Amino acid sequence: MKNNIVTAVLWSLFILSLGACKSDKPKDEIKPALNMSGKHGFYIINEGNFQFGNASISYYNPEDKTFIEDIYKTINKTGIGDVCQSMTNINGWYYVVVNNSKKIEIINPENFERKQSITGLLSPRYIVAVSNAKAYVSDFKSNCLHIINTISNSKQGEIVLPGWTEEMIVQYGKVYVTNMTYDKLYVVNAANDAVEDSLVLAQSPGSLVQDKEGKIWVLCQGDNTMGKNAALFCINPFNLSIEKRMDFAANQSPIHLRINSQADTLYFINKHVYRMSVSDNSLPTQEFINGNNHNFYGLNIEPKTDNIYVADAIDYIQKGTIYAYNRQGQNMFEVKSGLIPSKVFFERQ
Amino acid sequence: MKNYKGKFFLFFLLISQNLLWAQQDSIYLLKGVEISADYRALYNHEGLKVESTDSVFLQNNLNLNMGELLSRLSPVFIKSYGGGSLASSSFRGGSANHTAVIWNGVNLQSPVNGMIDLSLIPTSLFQQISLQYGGNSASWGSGVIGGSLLLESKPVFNHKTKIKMYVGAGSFSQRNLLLAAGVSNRRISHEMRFYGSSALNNYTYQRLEGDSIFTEKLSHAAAKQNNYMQDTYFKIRQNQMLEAHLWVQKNNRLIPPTLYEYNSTALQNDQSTRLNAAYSIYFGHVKAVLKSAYFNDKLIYQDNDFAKPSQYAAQTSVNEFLMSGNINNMILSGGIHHTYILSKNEAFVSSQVFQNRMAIFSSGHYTALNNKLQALISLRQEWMIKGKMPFTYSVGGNYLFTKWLDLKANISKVFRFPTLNDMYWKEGGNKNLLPESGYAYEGGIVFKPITKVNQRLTIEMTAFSKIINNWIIWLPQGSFWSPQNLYKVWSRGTESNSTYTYTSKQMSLLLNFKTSYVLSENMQSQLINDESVNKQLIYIPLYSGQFNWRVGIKKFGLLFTHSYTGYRYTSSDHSTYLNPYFLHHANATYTFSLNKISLDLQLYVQNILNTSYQAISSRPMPGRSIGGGIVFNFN
Repeated sequence: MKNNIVTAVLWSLFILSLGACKSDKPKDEIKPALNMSGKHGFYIINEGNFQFGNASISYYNPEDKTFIEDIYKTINKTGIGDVCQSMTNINGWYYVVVNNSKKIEIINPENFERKQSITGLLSPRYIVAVSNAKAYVSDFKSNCLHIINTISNSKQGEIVLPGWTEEMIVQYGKVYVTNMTYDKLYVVNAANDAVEDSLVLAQSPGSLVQDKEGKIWVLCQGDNTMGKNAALFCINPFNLSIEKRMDFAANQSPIHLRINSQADTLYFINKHVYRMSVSDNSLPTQEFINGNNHNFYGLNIEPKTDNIYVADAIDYIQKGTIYAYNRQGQNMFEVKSGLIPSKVFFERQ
Repeated sequence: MKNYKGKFFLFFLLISQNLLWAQQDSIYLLKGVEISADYRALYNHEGLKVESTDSVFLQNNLNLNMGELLSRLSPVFIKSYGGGSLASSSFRGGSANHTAVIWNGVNLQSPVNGMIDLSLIPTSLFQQISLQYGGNSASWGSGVIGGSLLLESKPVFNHKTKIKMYVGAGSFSQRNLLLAAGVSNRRISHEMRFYGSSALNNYTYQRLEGDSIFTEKLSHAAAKQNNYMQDTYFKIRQNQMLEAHLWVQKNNRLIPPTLYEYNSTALQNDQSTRLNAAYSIYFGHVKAVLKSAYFNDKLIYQDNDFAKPSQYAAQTSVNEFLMSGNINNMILSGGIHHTYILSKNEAFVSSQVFQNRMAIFSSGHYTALNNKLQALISLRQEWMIKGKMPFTYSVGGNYLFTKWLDLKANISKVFRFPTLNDMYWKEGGNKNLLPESGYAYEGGIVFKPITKVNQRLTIEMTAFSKIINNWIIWLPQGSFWSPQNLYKVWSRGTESNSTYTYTSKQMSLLLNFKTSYVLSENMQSQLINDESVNKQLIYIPLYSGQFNWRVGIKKFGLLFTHSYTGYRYTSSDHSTYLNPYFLHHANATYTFSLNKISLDLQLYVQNILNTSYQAISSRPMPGRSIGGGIVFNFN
């Protein structure tokens, strides 16, 4: 009798052990209806995880709080690809560089429909228009800048430049190109696609901006493995000389140098968000926006308002958050993004 | 900590004394003395769930690697990057660094990255493969947290020569060759094995783009493996034995592109030489063992898009002295362990780094109540770097309640040292990392409703819970990534394992059914807006199950495996996931035998329903494949 009870208990335990009451079926999110309302919204470039093909572009309009998590997929029915790197307006079209998909997608700003792709690239990073019909694309692996014909939207040539070329700006027909592999800023003549000059800065120049006087500011990230510290430079482009050099302490790795619409205030991320005037001769010591308990990964300044948008990638394997601050550094709102948000691109330029 | 250490030394002293007394005692038996030099493989798992792999299954699947074997026969989730590609594991909700692979008593987990690629371990090289569930750091040290895979060879001293050959071929240009020969006399047992395999892995897969499905072929995925292994046992005298195991392997493979890459130019070479030797001597009734192992591992990864290949080399030398002896119904044992690791890697802070690890350990195994109770206490003190000295212990027991009911329980303190990559990576390496550590608890019931001679039904039900503190996670610090002791992970779940066997003169039948339910969640975060807290970790299925059955009628055998893997999240906030998959495989065998010779003809179909699935996001897995082989045996 006692054995029967024990046996019965054991059998029921066995049945119980076969399952559990927690459902493992993930809940799919309900996608909101598409409503691109006007010119006051912004796009969030979400890199996604390398090789996972989960890059996306989100759209948010703070006025009516319209949010579309993956606008490219919503409109075009397929994901944008693997590692979405940058988005640039050229001749009224959005050029979206998708790094590990080795392509650039050209998108109609009116309806976000894909027009065509540029392929034949190795590891593209950024695109900059150098004339009405020509653009340059920097590249992580190919040891060159790609020359793109922006009429036919195809690759028409290369400019040999060793190493990992990164952000670029154009000034008076000259293209200033940063290089993450080395310690140089390269100058390319856009008229004849020739590398004209270079200037030795500090290790790994990555981002650069132009101030109100036309001076070029370059942020070098440094390389801790080589024991080379980061530094910020102010360069006079007319004689290609260094006007100011400000060194960071060891083991710091500042990223994303940005400038406001008046081109008189610089912003960058160094764990926290810092800002400084272009007239300053030393680096700021006090942070502008505290980055503790965040993983700040992207920074952009809205041209019309000078509002500051900071992208937080959190743990890099979940949806991130975009924090928006006004010029005084007061938090205005925050909005969820896709995976690994790295840039904010504004409808109003 | 200090207090622990004090107690520990006292215990060790006690054991040493016991061993001295044991020498004068003559009425006991050391069980299994001829089987394994290492007492830990024999006794140190009381209260834990242990399974040995069905030998018939292994004979019919000589072409499988360890990753494929575990994904078919166990609830261990295999994170496979595709046919022929990397396969790491998650055992009971743990990370890939929490699964130990113990080869004849030595842990093979890489000190450089903490894990082992299960796709590089062929199953046909070992005479016994068993799976120990749960943590056992108190016996084996760092990294034995989720469970361990025990790979063993067994000597025979029977004056016989045996030869085995297997030639196999299958879809995607798979080719397999096994050559094994063994000779033995009264004192020497020597066996050599060669296993080679190659495959193009150019299988087709389906890619979903919008609403359209594209069928594509995997390119740049060829893999080639060559293994040579030998096991030699020499009885120097009646009370002395020398054993030596050698395993040399060379693996070359191309790394295929992911679903979202157009092509790939990457390739990887893994080379290892492993030597593992032991000398055992019996002083009266005490056994002393001196063990020494040397591993030389080399990995080269080259992406032709970059000029420079990345590579690392690691040399590991392990030395151990073990003693064990019986007094009445007690087996007392203990030992000293030393590991020296030297690794050369250009990505490290200095071109070569080294590490010394020391440990002392002991255990007491107790049998009582007419052999109904088997209990074990083990202790281990580890030293690595100043201030990081995990003390671990384990208490467990099996109690035979009736002949059809067995109860098990085990509590273990477990830990894992940070890897060399974690500590010495040039950009981001963190020397201040603490070891991951925590407690694992489990309880089990073994229920045997049918215990007839020709018919048996055994049902094992297990529940476990484990909390790991200081779980190491790599996160970016500005432009580079760095590991930190961030997570606190609570893994818990239930498992069942039911086996029914029936044998008669004409036929044999085996049905085996396993289920597993694992919840594994990170419980803390310092990040704002972190939605991963209290959510299932990525790449750990909540549910999985396997059903295997085989039937043998005279010389004909049929074997089926069916395995289910549930949803797995691919982002920590659960916004993305991979769909479940249910896979079916079948094998058929016919055996011809004549005196000492037997010949098996084998045919297999893998993934019978041609299911399109991914274990890891954007890495397509093979669809249906067919193949076969011939096994020649001379005994």
